[in-house]
Amino acid sequence: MHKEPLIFDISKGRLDDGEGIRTAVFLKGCPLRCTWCHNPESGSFAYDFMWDGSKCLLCGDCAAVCPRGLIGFDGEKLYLDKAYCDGCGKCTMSCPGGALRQIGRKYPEEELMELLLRDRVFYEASNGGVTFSGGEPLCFPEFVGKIAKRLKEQGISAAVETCGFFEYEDVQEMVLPYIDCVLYDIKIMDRQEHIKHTGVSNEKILHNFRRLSKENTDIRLIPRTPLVPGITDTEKNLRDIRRFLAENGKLSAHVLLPYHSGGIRKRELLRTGIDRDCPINI
Amino acid sequence: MYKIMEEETLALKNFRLELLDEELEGTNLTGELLAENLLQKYYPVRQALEKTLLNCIDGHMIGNVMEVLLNLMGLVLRLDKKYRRNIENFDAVYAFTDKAGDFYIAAIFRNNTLSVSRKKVDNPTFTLIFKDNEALVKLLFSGAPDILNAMLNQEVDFEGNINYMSKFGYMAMHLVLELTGGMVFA
Amino acid sequence: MGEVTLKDIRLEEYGLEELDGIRELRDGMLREPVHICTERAWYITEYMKEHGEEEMEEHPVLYRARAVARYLGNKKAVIPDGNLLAGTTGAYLKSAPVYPEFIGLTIWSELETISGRKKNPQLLTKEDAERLNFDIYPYWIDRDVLASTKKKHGNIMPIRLLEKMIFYVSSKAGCISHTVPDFKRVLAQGAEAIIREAEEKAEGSIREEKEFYQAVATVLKGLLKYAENLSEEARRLAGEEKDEKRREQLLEMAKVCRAVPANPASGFREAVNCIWLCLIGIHAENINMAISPGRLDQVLYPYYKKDMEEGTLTVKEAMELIACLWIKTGDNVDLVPQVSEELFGGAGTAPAVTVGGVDEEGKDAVNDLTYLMLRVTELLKMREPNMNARYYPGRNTIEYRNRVSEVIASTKAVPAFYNDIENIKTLVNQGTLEEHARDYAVIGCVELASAGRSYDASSSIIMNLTAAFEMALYNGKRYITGEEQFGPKTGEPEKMENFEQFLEAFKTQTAWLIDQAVDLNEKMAKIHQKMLPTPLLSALFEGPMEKGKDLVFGGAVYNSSGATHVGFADVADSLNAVKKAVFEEHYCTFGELIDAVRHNFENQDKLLAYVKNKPLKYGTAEETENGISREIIRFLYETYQGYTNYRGGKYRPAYWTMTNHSGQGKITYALPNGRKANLPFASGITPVSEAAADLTECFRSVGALNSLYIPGGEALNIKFTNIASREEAALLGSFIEGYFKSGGQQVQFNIMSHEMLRDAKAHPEKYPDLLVRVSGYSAYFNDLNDTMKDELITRTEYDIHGGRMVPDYV
Repeated sequence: MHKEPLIFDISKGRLDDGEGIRTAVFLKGCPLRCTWCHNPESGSFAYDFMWDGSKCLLCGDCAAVCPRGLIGFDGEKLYLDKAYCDGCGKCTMSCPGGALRQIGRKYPEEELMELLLRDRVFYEASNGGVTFSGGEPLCFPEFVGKIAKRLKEQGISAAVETCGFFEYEDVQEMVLPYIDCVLYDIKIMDRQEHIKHTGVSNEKILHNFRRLSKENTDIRLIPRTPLVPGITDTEKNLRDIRRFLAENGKLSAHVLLPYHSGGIRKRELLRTGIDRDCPINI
Repeated sequence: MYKIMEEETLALKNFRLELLDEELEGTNLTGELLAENLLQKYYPVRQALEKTLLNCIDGHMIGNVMEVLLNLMGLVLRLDKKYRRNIENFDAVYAFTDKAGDFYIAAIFRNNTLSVSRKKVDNPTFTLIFKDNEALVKLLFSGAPDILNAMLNQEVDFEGNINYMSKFGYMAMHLVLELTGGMVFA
Repeated sequence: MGEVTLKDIRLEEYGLEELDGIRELRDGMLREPVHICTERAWYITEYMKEHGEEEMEEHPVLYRARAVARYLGNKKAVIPDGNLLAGTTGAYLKSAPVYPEFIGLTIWSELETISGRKKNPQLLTKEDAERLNFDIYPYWIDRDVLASTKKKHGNIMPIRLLEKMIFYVSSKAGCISHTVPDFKRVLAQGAEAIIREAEEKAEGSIREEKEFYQAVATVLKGLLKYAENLSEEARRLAGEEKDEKRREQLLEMAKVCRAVPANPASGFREAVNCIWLCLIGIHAENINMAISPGRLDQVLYPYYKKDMEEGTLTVKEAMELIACLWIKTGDNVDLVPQVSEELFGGAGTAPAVTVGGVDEEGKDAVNDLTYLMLRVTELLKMREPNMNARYYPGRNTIEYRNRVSEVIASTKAVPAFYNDIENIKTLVNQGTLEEHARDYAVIGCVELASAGRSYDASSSIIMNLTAAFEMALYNGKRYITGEEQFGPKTGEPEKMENFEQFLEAFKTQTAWLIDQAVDLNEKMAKIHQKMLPTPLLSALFEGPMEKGKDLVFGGAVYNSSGATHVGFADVADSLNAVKKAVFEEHYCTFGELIDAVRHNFENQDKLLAYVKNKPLKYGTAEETENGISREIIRFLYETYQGYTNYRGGKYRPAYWTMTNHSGQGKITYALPNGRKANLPFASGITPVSEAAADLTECFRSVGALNSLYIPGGEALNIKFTNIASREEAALLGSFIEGYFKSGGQQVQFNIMSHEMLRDAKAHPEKYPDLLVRVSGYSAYFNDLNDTMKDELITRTEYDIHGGRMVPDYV
């Protein structure tokens, strides 16, 4: 189990991550690999890089500034070896056009708390708060619980968005006492289909949901299904999901999420391998 | 491009506002029949001036534009009673010069008439300094003389009361609109 | 204390079709072209030719009253459409009256083409063109405000700077306006009582006071004559009218005009028409630039309530009358030369109506009329009046707040939201009594007045802050004017050793420019005092009748002058850029930066990318913490408040820009914040487009600017892609609550996407009445020039769900 997560985004003023206006903290790393994921950079637990060709000036400053010499630049092409990257972020800071971006960084606790508390007036005005998301935030129950506890002490609501693939005992002990809402993805009921489209089986996910709905009645549990065309939005899948939810008394809370294609552009920017036609290779 | 006839060119060559003044001296300007005769006599000159002016507006030979305009204005003021009303009790000296200071011409409105001077006049009521002839043509003739816009674009500068430029702009525009039939009213 | 008795505050059962004839009136007014009206100019000029000169010397206030009264007494009584209210500002359904005392001569050279000009034609008859050219303009050629100022003082620097147009605008050349009159007294007592009071007071006083009271009586009598003429005309038309219903309406109109404004208003209809007739009187005296009707939901409420209780008025009828008034406020526009389209594009007269908020005791003042007026605004979706909603978090209800948000979502543009807490606070800090501050109303665009008590001349100075910045960069010169020296020599930046030196240079240039602008304002004010006292407006105000002093001499209870700023965000970001690039990270030398700017960043892609991305940007939390924006706000405030104006009031800085940010941007070269040459500046107090990617951070950063330093009002323009449902509107309300709690004073919205605006630019016929918020006022998108349309298109657009800006992928 990882202790300290990399966080790849802290996004404020959001309306779809729980009640009211919320700040969402996105933790890097996920046990699933959903084919439709709109945050593809969230899959790996390690540092990633995104590079936007339309902004790159091929100036080579990133290569000059990397303290470990992990970036090579020959005037026309850039080569970045991220295996030994320690996430110092200097390349990102040096890039004038904002073309190269390190995805994921560590946040010292105080810095994170300061960021999360900034929008307090908006939380208060809307019954909002903070939502932990990602990736899979519950891969880091100690971290999430620590921050959620501090938020609770400040009177701020904390919610979690999860795919359900987590260790229940750890979460129960470290996270559940401090959160008031879980937004729980129920994607695919058929086991084979689930493995095919997400890479893992769904037993743990369904098992965790049952326990959560039975054992924690004071936490709002909101099952959500992203409607991915042809995959999750089939009649059979939705029917099966509804039956499952009804069995657990959560049918009325079910939320259907329209699919958005933000992941497509992100996949274009995310550099994960060698592409001979591209000026940058990571 | 308007073609100017030979006889018109010739008439223009021999034209001076001062000569016209001599003809008008002792003449009763309100006598319609006499004015009729003068209008006929000076028709070719007027044609020449008008066509030249329109050519200037279209972008040809614009180096002359101020001179042509003032001569035409002077001519029409002398022959057209209604147009002359514009300068009733109106005394003002306008100086037109380019930024470099190479070009200078002055229009003197006094005693219900207009005279033109190439020599520098002291204490002009209003001075217009234009960046170049293009700026001047654009200011005076591009649909609506808009000195404020020209100012904003730094195409012209001025000294004096801006209302004077507006008035002059009206008079200049009026001549052109009569030619092009471009006047629009409600 | 407001009371809400309506069962449905949305008044959903009343749509446009349920209000009799309103759709026709609305469409008629919208389609009606503007007619230039020379009637006023004619009568006043004739009076001046007959008596004006000597009288002005001996009786400056009285002569003006007589001239205006002559006009009002002879003004044509016109009833041009089926509107229930009587009276028109000019002689047409939609008029642009000529005010030769101000800027009426600026269209002189356009007289024979203005009826057909491409952008914003204004119709002029041949007869009127000749009247103006031969009879009216020649009288004023040396006598309008600017000419008079110039004649008196010569071509001094403040005037030269004004005429260059790229340093500041001095609106005294163009108007006496920008205020909220008081209607309570004339509604309660009637104009005849005010006349009697004035005449009595005249008896008992001497010299200037005596003359003032005589002037008030004279000019009000002129207004009453006009009302009488209207009454007769209505009766005459009734006699010819075949349609029974219309006949009844005309007879009612005749009755109303006999009753008001002479007598106290006896009911809602009389009250509404009385206000309208008073506004006509005010327009007769002076040009209408933001003469703002004020808190009509408060002022009209007693009359509404009385009639409703007596059963002589229904909600439907009240809404029809409000709609008629709303439509009437659009019956006059300003006469504009073409250049106005650059600096003040698409603007009507911005008459601001303010609803909601708290009463003088600080209690929730929202009442039934508030909701009726919001509903009418929602249905009509017109540019006039300029609707504003005051909100006091914690005292006004959440239902009210969310209802206003719904109206914003459905009109996509109006009303604008005002934070009572901060606005009252800043007014009190300026010396306004708390109960008077609670009674504040908006002067359209966004300025703050204590309704009917404060004379704020809120557009006295429109200061181009980027001019001062450029002069710091170029040692007292501006890029576009080349070698001409304007400002003081503050040193060559290339030689400066630290940022403080450059900041000091900027402050010196700014202080110098402000000094010139203030000086000019004071000088023009003296001209106003000599030429243009305002007895009619003074009679409709608290203070002058008590003090015996016209408004221009300081008769109002409170006095101030407003100075607003163009280019604040671009200047803040440019200062931040200089600091970081040159002095902190030594990314380049100052010389290199200036060179890049002078060449519009040609072949400087890297430096351009750097300044666009790396320095602190106003609108982000880091900039609020460590950047220069707050310091600039404070510096400007302290500089202005060091001056006292000719009426004994202070100068109040503000941040709204009309379309100056577009017009001035067009002629300003590149700046160190990465803005390329000739592009618009950010509007009002809004951060530079796409500099504030985070919505909540944008709100908090603007809120952090400290309202005490912004007593003149501000315009924050926020654009959302879409707000479709009631839930989303309620969340919009929550965002506003958070923004107000962060210290924000004002916010206005455009709910439209980049795509839709591009489509509207390309296909105007698809969007005939598209209403947009510019910077403090509303305009019809199709009236705007291309530069301004592009500025709106490229404004930062936020997705309300994601809280982040939507990048403009072109």
